[in-house]
Amino acid sequence: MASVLSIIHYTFIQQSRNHLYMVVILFGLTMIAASLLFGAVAGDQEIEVILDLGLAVTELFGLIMAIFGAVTLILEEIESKTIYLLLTRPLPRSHYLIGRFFGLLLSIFVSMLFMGVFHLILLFVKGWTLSATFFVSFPFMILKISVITALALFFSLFSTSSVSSIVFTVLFWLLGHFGTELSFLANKSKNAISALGTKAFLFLIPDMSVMNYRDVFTLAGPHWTQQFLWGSSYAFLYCLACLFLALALFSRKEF
Amino acid sequence: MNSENILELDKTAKIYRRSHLGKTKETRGALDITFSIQKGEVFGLLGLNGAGKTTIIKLVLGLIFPTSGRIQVMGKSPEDPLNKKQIGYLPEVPYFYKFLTAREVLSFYGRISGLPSHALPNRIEDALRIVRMQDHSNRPMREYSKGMLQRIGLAQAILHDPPLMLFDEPVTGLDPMGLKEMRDLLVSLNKNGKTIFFSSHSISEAEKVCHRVGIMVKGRLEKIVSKNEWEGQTGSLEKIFVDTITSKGGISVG
Amino acid sequence: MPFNQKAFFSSRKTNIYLGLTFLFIFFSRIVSVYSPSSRFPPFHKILMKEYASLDTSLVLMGLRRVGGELSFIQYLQYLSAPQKEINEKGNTKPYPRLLVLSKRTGSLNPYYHYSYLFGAGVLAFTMNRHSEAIDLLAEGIRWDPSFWRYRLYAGAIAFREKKETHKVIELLESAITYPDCPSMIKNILAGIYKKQGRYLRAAEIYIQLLNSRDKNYIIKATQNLHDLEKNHGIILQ
Repeated sequence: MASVLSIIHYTFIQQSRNHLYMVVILFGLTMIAASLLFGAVAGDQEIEVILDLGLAVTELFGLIMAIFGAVTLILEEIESKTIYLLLTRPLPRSHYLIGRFFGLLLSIFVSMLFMGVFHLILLFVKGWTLSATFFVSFPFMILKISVITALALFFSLFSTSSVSSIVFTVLFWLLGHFGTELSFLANKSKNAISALGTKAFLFLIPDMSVMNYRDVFTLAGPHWTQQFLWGSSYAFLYCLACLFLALALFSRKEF
Repeated sequence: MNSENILELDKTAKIYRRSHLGKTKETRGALDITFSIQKGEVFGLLGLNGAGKTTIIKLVLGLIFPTSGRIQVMGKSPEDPLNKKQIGYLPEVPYFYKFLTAREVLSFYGRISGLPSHALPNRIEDALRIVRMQDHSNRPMREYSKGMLQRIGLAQAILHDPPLMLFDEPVTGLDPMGLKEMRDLLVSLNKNGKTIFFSSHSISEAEKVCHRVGIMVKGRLEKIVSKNEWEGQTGSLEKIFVDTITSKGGISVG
Repeated sequence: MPFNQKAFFSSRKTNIYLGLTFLFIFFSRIVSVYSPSSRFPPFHKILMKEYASLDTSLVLMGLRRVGGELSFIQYLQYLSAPQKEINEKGNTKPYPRLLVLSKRTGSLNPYYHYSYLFGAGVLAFTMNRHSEAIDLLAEGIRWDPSFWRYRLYAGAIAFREKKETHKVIELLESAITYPDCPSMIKNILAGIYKKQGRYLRAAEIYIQLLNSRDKNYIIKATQNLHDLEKNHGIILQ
């Protein structure tokens, strides 16, 4: 456990001392501020637009950090050979992988927190009345980011290049939001093979709609606590699947 | 396994297989390697570039996996991560995190190596003192010269006081003073009971510190030479080395 | 280092990891299928070809809610400038795309109540296109039958068409008590009162409009209050 915590700690320091990390946060803050422009032309819906657009920007920049961070996390360490002095120590490869994963997640959460605080300040300045929606959306966004980070980590070990890892991860992010539509198309399809293929594919892609509370909070449905329970169960299981798959590849990787 | 043997390789082989467009290309990294190292011994592995020295070291460290054969490090498989507490490794070129200082790096490695937090600061001080890097330890690693990086590499290898030291070409690129310091350190470590296994191109350095030397040619361990075979005769290890290389087709000497 | 398939699958540890992977994927799929989490209905119809790639991208990014709001902003932009279409008979139709733009917003976020109410209000009370307004509200009801204010607005529009103004007033008075009531509806109700000479009630509603987030309605309310004060003897404090 101590070794996992050490890996988490140094991963967080590594990410936060990375200039690109700061640039992404600054860019995210700028885009959140830009939501004020959209709010200004939205009439009565100004606050709603600033709220929703700000949350969306926070999630998207968290996604960018997750994808680029996870894809380079281990690949860079392998290429720079700094991994040699880690794996030649009494550090199980599983501990290393888990530590790197959680260290990266921690750095992303902190950056999303910065953006969230800035977003809150903007909302209060614009006269927003405090509502739980903002605070409830955040944990769900973090679940989505966790899933995509685990997936990106797997692709970084599976693929031979960082570009293809990024492409695959982005593809799975997009398809993850298209699950309802794919299921609808599969049911409508007259070709049994393509319907079966689509349904099999749905098995593999992450179902982002289970964790997309930010988008659906006005919809009628169960209380957010119940939705969070299901969403976090899903995220936990899917992350585990990705991490075990990544571990299967990493445990036999040669250096 | 013989309880006196700290390292044993038995008919170990490593074949690299590369598949491309349906064709598989095989490259021999090491073949039929059998030898053992006793506790308290200094064993040197000599060979030309590409002879397989680094392959052997990586196999012992569990960085790569043998195609066949058996490796035992203190009675356990190299893939057992907890056994690595017993090993201190210095790569040919140590790569560190440029954004950390030497102290931070040693602290990090010390924690991963299982050193208790109350003992860690003293161990870091001791290691820095041995490699004479106390004055530069708070600078980020990106500011270090090659020699300084090598010293920190040594520091991280000895930090957790392991019984077995694995050095991959420790004298490559060192100036004469650096060579002497490294040699003195190896002798000192061995006097303190450490077993040392290192690979090198430098026959003269191996001659000075080793109890035994293995000579590798094209992935095979062709000969193991004991100190009494070259002791007392200057240049005799070199002669044995060259004879072994030329007889096994490693190089032709005109 | 090349990937050694044979070594990969021959390792017992690797096979355990792979087995656990499939197990967790299977359980995650079960959770996904049985999860009662709120979801949008499938996005399967592109209503406006020029926005096809934008709308599809928003859906793929999980931004249907934001997409609906961006679409609504585009609707407001359309409304802010004079638009007309001339048909074969030479008749002009102002703002011909209001209905399809409103429906486009609904296709992205079928639960965007405000956009349906606003769109129906514009079609009925500003453009006198009652049937289109009812058509729009009917779509809103189809997606969210529990949102009863659609029926409230439909009723008001139906009475307007029959010129039963007192019943329109009754329904709109109910509508403006809700926080999601568009400022436009308040403005329309105040305008009805002003037309009927009920200046005090009109003034009360214009004062409410001064708190609107839409600057246009704040300006209109200010102008109307000034007019009521100057020309109709309403004293404002």
